[in-house]
Amino acid sequence: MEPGVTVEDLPQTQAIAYHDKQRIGKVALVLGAGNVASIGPLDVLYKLFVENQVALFKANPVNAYLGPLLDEAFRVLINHGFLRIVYGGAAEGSYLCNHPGVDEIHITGSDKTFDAIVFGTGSEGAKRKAERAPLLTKRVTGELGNVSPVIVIPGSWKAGDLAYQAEHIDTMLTNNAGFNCNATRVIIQYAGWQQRSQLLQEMRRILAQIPPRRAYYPGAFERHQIFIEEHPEAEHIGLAKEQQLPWTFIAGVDPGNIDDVCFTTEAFCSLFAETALQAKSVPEYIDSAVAFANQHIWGTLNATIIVHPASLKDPAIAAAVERAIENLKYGTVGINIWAGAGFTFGTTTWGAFPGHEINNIQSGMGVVHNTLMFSRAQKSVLWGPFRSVLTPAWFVTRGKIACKLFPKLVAFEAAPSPLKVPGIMAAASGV
Amino acid sequence: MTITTHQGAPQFPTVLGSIAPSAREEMDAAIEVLQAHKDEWVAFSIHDRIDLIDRLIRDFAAIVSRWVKASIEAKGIAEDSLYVGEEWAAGAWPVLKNLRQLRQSLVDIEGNGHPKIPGRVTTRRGGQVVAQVFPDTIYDRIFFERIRA
Repeated sequence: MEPGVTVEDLPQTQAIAYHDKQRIGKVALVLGAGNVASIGPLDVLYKLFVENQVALFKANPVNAYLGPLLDEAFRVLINHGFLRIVYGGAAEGSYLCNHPGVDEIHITGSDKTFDAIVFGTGSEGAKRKAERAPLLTKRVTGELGNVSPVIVIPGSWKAGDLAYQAEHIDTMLTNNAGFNCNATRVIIQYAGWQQRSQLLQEMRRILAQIPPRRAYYPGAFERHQIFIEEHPEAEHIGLAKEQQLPWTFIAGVDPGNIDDVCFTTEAFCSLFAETALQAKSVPEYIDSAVAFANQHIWGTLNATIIVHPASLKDPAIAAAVERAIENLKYGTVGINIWAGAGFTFGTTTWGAFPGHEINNIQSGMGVVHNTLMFSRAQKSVLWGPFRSVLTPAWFVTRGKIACKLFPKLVAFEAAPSPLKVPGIMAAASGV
Repeated sequence: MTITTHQGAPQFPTVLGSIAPSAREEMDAAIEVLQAHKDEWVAFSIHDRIDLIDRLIRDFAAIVSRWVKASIEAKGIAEDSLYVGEEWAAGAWPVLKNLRQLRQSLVDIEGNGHPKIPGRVTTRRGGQVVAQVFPDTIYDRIFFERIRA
């Protein structure tokens, strides 16, 4: 929670939209994201049930094909007049944002779109942004992307640990072909760790087994090219066919070059990078990795820490990890679990770290999901096991299990029953 | 064509969707309907909201296979691809998971005024309050080995 919230007050900070008897209705414009199918409906549900606003959903042109299905699934809301779905691109978006009948706006997308909405475009927009003089004074919330870091804490890892965590990190890139705002873009390592290059080798080995995927999101090839031009040494892993991009890895980026495109810019394609920091000790490294992520890596959406349980037995390292959890300015922090997984849990918040200035919005403002309806949450912290007994079904090499398991989990949430548990457990075990 | 950017998230190129953009009259009409119903929504009882959520769960579950199929087709993922699981996991499951959790929160609000926090509420050194929110249900404990938030 944010500073100032006490244990006694906490319940009063929940579901505040349900306690304000004077509350007047509002129309929220929800500008949908084009990459992950659940984002649009989840943002609509948040506006309706947590913020108590009716919703005008503009489907993103990239996945507008979902619009008619959402229309069917959310028909009851449409029949009541609580939801409408419209279509279009930037022109329609701009028209709607400036419409006097739209009271608030929520966007999952890019900070560039946020700036265009709030300040306008072109040189006039840039001037307004510099002067902090918004063109649009409605409340605009949004989740606007991230250059997501993973901080690897050195330890004495076995071969199995290296393979497991290499697959974990690779999955953070390969999921959805790299078109996720929470996809890992920068792996931070300790320059003095003897197993640093072993971990990288394992990552390369596993990536080489994963067939390249179709780069379906618009602009991917151009974005990829920008990074390759700045980093001709980038490694291309896998043979990309037409419409595909290879997995692309830029190892050993100089952390002294804080303007490096790998730190400042979200690649939003099949590419990630690694950098290594010098430090006198591991605790000092952890502190500097946190400072580096906070200060030099763009965005505040999600960050992941990977640490072996044996390392946490060292009190100085354990204390440094506690400091990291506290000091990382990210809306979600994952320890031994991809922080991006926090997108799916629902009771967790999803959004930027609070407090960005309107003219330096970074990963955005406000949260979604948050089904316990906290109004003053600061960040969500996830904990996972360093090694699971069963390799999680969402790891990239477990696609066969995922294809069986997740439809069962969907059916379970549609109608939970203890009778479904054995089937789910069997699917998870690959039976 | 993408405009190159060296700071932040991408400036995405403009693309045409598979569905024609709405005309201004359609958008105006949609906003008019919503404006006419926004106060009705605020006054909509919690009991009725729970019924709505039950209906949404049923209706989303009814289309979910087509939802996944539409996504994999558009992303160029074959029906027998090992990536199909991702669409079930990230594209579909969170919608139903959220609906079910929202339903429970509404039940709790109706009963006690606020959603019930499933885990412990503690205070860190320095005074920051921490609420454990996951696992939320007994089933989360079974399905998500040693994961907490």
